[in-house]
Amino acid sequence: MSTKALLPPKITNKGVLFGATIYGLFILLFWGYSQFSVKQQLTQILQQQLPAKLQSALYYTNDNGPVIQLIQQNIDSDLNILTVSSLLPRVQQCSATVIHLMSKDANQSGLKLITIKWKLGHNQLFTHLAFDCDTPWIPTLFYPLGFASVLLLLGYLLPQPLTTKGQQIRQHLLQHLSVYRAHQLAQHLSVCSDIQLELLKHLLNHTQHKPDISNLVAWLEQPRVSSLDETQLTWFMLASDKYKLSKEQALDVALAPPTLIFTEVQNQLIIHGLPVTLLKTPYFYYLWYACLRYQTDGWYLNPPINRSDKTGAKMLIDLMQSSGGHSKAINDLLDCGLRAKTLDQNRNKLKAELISLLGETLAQDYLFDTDRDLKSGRYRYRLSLEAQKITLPPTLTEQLK
Amino acid sequence: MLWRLCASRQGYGLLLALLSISTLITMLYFSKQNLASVELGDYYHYRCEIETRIAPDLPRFRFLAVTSLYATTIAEFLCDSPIMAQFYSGVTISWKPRWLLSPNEVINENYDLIWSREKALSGLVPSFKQYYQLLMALDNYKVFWFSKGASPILNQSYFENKRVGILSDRLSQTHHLLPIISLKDANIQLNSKQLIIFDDARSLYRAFAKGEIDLITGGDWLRRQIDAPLTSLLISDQVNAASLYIRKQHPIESECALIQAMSLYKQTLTEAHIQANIKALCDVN
Repeated sequence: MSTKALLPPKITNKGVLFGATIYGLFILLFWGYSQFSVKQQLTQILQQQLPAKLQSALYYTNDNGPVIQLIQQNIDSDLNILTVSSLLPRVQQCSATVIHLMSKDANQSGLKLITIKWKLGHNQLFTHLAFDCDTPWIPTLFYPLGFASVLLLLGYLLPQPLTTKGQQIRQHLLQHLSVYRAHQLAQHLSVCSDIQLELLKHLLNHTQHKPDISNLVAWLEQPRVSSLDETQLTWFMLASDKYKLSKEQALDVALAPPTLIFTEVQNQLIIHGLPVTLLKTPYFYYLWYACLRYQTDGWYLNPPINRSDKTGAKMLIDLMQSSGGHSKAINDLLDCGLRAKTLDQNRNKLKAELISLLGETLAQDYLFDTDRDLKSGRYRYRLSLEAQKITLPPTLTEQLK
Repeated sequence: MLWRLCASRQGYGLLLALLSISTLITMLYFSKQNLASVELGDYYHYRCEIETRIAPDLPRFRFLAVTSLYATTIAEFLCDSPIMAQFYSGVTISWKPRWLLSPNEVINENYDLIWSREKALSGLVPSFKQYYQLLMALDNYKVFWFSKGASPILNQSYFENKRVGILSDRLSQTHHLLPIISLKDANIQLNSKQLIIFDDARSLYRAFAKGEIDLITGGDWLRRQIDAPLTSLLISDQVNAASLYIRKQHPIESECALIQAMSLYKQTLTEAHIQANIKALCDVN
């Protein structure tokens, strides 16, 4: 497996834009909250102190001019330099000035506006103050950069979420791997095909000992495996499950061409790369039909029920005699020739056997085509597989030539 | 745990949200500004500096008045006075509420000049005359009932359905004691809805000007404060508006300047009775 899988995603232009947005947002929040915290504290302090101070200053005052102005100036002077500090080293100075000392209007709001509610006699009054802070720009830009960088870095290093397929893979891998490794591999394998996923599940479930996952993943990623189709997968499963072949051998079977090879060894065939052994008599009937397919278009019309085909039986008798067929079957053929009933029985046996060996789906290509002869009303049969895909034993091929 | 959470999109989203929130909270925690303690001063005083003072370490002249009326004018007058410049570096005039004056302030002579009544000061410190002496008394102060409607008559039928405004300050001669005494002497009964009590003079005058109350008491100066023709009924012309007490240890030379400054009040309130020795010294009437 490549180390690429373990690395976080690449930084793209979109990522840079996203990072810049986060940074901008952090600056805004950092600056905004520092202003807001000053405003909040100043409001609290003024709300505690100012009403009593104003009430005592205005108790014996009945002019709207100079004294009000004087009080306003004195408040401004008290709030001219407000020193603030924070946990991070940066110096900031704030100040506040009175906008309206005795307003009846409570509805003035803004980030830099403070409203103090107080009473003079029966009158509800409001003092509006504006406050401002000198922003030390270098730390204001620098600190949010630090925090935004930490967030972006952690977010960047955070394991990426898995797709549905990835989660399935992870679930399977968890039985054999740590959570960390399972996540990493699942992330890596989440782009693999459904067939690869099926293979992975199959191999993990059928491995008795602790599997070497890295090797398995590397094996799954090889082009021979990644290019498998549904049918080939079925062949793989058959070879692996039923015939207990190793994964390499099963892969060879899966990738083998759809051929039917009759070997020199009696009763043995290689179907789609998978060696199988048939019962003796059905084997010879199969070979006989294969020879017909090889020589002609392969069709053989079943003889009438009341009349056997002695001429047609000759090749089958020869095949059986030369390759050790059952003497009973040979004698039967010699005596009676080819009969529709025997042919049907052996084809059916063959079909049952092939289905039992290969399964219904895979066996289909290696069974028979059926056709009804309109003239006689009888059925004719031939091997479905084209002649080019059939390989007869070399000796027999020679004879047929 | 991390890897388990990140397996699904929801978990990844949750983790990312948690990470963002915790980073934000940390940043906001660090961005919080702590305001150094703010102590507001008192706003019931006016200060001016004497520019031509002789020595920089001269004390300030501190005057406790009962109103902010003319405060700035009097202070500026004193600051401009060459006599005051010989003894003081500046003038502070205060009009803090009288109930805030503590016995300690009297005993410690925190003020050079106190505008008060004798009974108020002796109530605070019975032996106040050890520290302060009378400089001048503002007597013959006239107090009236004022109305914006028909001339006030001291009988029950006139006061029927009339709203009367007084101050809650029980030390106020003009706005608390005199109206109550006047009504009591005339045997006029007011129900609780008719007698409206105000916490400050400003609200009292404003309510009267707006017609929210029908009658108030006050000196002649009230006619200038209210922008409407007023009818009146004299309650008393013998009221002691106030007396000015000066620290015993004070430069005699400053007295004339103080009396001249106080003449501003004299025009407004009433005739000033000045101690005979000072009168002779300053050559004032």
